[in-house]
Amino acid sequence: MGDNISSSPLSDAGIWKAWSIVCIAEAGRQGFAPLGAAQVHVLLYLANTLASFFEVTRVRGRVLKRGAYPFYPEVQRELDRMAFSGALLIDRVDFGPRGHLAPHYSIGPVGEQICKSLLLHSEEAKRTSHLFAELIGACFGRFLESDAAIGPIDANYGNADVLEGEVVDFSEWQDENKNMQVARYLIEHLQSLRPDPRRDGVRLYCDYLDKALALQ
Amino acid sequence: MINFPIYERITVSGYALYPGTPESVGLNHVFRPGVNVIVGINGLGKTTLLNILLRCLTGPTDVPQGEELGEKKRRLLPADRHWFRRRVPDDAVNASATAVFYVGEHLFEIKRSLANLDILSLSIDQQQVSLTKPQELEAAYQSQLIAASNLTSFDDFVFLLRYVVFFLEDRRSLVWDASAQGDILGILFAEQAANRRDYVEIFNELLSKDSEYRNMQAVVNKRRVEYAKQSSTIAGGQIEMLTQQLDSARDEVRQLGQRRGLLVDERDSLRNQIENRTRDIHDERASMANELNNFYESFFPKLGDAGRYLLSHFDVESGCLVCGNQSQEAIDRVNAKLTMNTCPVCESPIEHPDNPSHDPHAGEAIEAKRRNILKLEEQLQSMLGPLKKADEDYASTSAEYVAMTVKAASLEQQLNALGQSIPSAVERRDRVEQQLTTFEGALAQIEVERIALTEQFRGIAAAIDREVRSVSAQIEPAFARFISGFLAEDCRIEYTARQSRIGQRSATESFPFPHFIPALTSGVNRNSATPREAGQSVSESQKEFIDLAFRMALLEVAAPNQPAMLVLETPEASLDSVFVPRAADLLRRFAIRPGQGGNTRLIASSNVNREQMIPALFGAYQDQRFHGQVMDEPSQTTPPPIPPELRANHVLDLLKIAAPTRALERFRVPYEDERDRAIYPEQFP
Repeated sequence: MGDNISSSPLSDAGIWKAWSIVCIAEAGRQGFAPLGAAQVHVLLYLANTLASFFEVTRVRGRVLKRGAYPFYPEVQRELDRMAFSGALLIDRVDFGPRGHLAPHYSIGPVGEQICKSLLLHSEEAKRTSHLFAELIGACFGRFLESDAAIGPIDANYGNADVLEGEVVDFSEWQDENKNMQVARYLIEHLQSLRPDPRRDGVRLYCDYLDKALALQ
Repeated sequence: MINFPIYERITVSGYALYPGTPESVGLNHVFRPGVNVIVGINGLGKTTLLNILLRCLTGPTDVPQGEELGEKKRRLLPADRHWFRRRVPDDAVNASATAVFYVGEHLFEIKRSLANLDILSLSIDQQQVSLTKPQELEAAYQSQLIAASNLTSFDDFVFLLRYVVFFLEDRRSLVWDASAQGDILGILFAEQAANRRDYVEIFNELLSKDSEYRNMQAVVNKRRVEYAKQSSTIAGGQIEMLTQQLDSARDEVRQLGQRRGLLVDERDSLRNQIENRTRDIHDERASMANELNNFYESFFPKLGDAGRYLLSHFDVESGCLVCGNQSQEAIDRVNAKLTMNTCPVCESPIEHPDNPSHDPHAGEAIEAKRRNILKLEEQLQSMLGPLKKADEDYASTSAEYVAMTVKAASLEQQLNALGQSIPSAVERRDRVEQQLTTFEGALAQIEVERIALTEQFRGIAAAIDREVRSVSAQIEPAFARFISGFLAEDCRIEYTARQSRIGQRSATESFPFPHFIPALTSGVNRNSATPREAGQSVSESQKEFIDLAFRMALLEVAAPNQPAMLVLETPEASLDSVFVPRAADLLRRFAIRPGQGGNTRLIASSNVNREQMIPALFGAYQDQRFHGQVMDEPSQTTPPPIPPELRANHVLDLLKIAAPTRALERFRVPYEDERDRAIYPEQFP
């Protein structure tokens, strides 16, 4: 049951770590590394939203609505742990004026090895890598490079019915996941028009986020 | 006073069994007062002739069949109309019997077809009844006969003939049949007319009510069983039970659902709080680490971003990012080294310990943050217990909810399966209930009617009992006198009204029915006469004579100053040598009466044999010495013998009249010789 999975905060830690490595490795391949902690969290959130279109198993739907973008405290600790165990590197830390330390991660030598063996042995990992490749390609050069604060414009996170400090939960009830509805709509309509509807769908979706952010 | 039929003459013509003689065709016989003997041998038609005598009087009717009258309705049943036809080869198409008899002062002459017993002609007191249809003639005959005999119905007439007058081989027991006795005593001695008719009607009606009641009771019982079955199975109990169970299961599912919802809310809210606390702690630490940055920069000016990031995690007490150790001990160890101005990694002295720096432990703001983090962590810890409990509650409630949902679904399925049969089953049950009510009503109605009839019958039964009891003092000695002629045992009858119910139901009232109980001594029980109520406790021949003596006593008492008639079939059959003259003597005394009873007829059939019954009946018993030894009565009171020259008139000789059997054809001379020896013993000294 989804309830039981989410009731143990770190039960998905392994998957999150794998996703983080695949994500940062893919960003590095596309020349977007290092990724700031905020960017990693937003990418993980969006990947989770679009997972089913790439036949990737969704991880968890519960996100605490707090701050300007989706943030998973347990994942942050795992990122830091991976950074000091050689899987990731901390290229720099923003000791920023906003009161938060913001490390920027790139893939480390151990991480490269882990990522390689994941892709070699797991079809699911390949699909996950594909998902992140499309997502990163669609986001960077656009909103994510300059602003990770998608909170206000995200259909789920920004939903006015969910108050600050409450949980955004769309994993158990797929029909309540508005992001997914939008993405499905776009992908289904693009299927007859474009050779790779998933890629175009993801791009179109990220365009929408970009435009929406610009409108704020 | 009842008038019995007294035969004057019988004529049978056209019946192959009795061709007659060339001088006189057919059978034509005049019965004389006193003894009349039908003489014959086996197969000559003695029994048939006696039956003709009976059927001429009764027509095609008879009393109910069977050993005993018992609980049968007191009404006549059709007799076998073709009994005579079957005994002759020509189907008796032209055969008829004409009976001439007196009933009281009225002379009846009735001619019946022997093919079907229809009345062909009827004259009463020599007046021809001018009707042609047999049914009309029968009706006229019966009504005239009832009037002449002083009886209330033709049924009573036939009952009397069957139970008193005719003592044939197929006779009915009277002494041993309590029901028949009660009826015959009622007919003979109770007040006639209305009472008797009511008696029979109410008696029959009570029997009908009894049988109706029992039939209805059976129907009611059957319906009750059916109703109970219908109610208890599908239509009633089971569905109701399932519905109740389903309702309660649904109720429970609803309650569990509500509880589950509440638990989900509670759990989610706890989880929410925990996540918020986690974020609070994270934010506090991040903010504190940021403030500590300057401190580390001054301590380790050459330290890169990652190193400072690592160290700041120690100071904000989130543990070691390298090995993942989060214990307070490890944190304290690293912090102690920093406090001692040594490198936490290689423990070398720090190069510029005197440089002014921001003491991370000095600032109020930082201390406040530390306290806040501590407080938040405590809160977080205290939330974990309730969350765990809420999780467990939720899990167990969910399990109950699922189990109850499954149960409700299964009940619903059972109900649906029964669903199709519910309406028809309920309808059937209601229909049975309705029928049951109707039948119970009918049952109550029958009972009400029965009680009303019982009231009427009780009066009549009591009156009859009184009347018969009043004549019992005459019947008892008459019986004692007659039976002594037939049996050596001391035998007597005693009047004891029999209390009996009408019908087979046990819960109804009983009534007194007139009844004489015979009592006799036997070889075993010589000193006292013991009551022999049941016929089987007496030998067959004893039974017959007790019955005959009882009939004779009844006839004598019922018609003391009037002629009577008794028809007997071979009375010698069950008697030994000693009792032949004794019985004959009694029968003669009965038949030959002085005064107004002088017209009495005794008609007896007898076989030609050496039993001496025929001469004894004529008063011509030859062995006077033996006769004197066996007789009780003084011989001077004995009626005089019939003179030999008149005897032929008292004999109906079937050897002459009947169609001869093989035996007769072959041994005619010795048979006729034997016959003459029997009728005229004086001529054969």
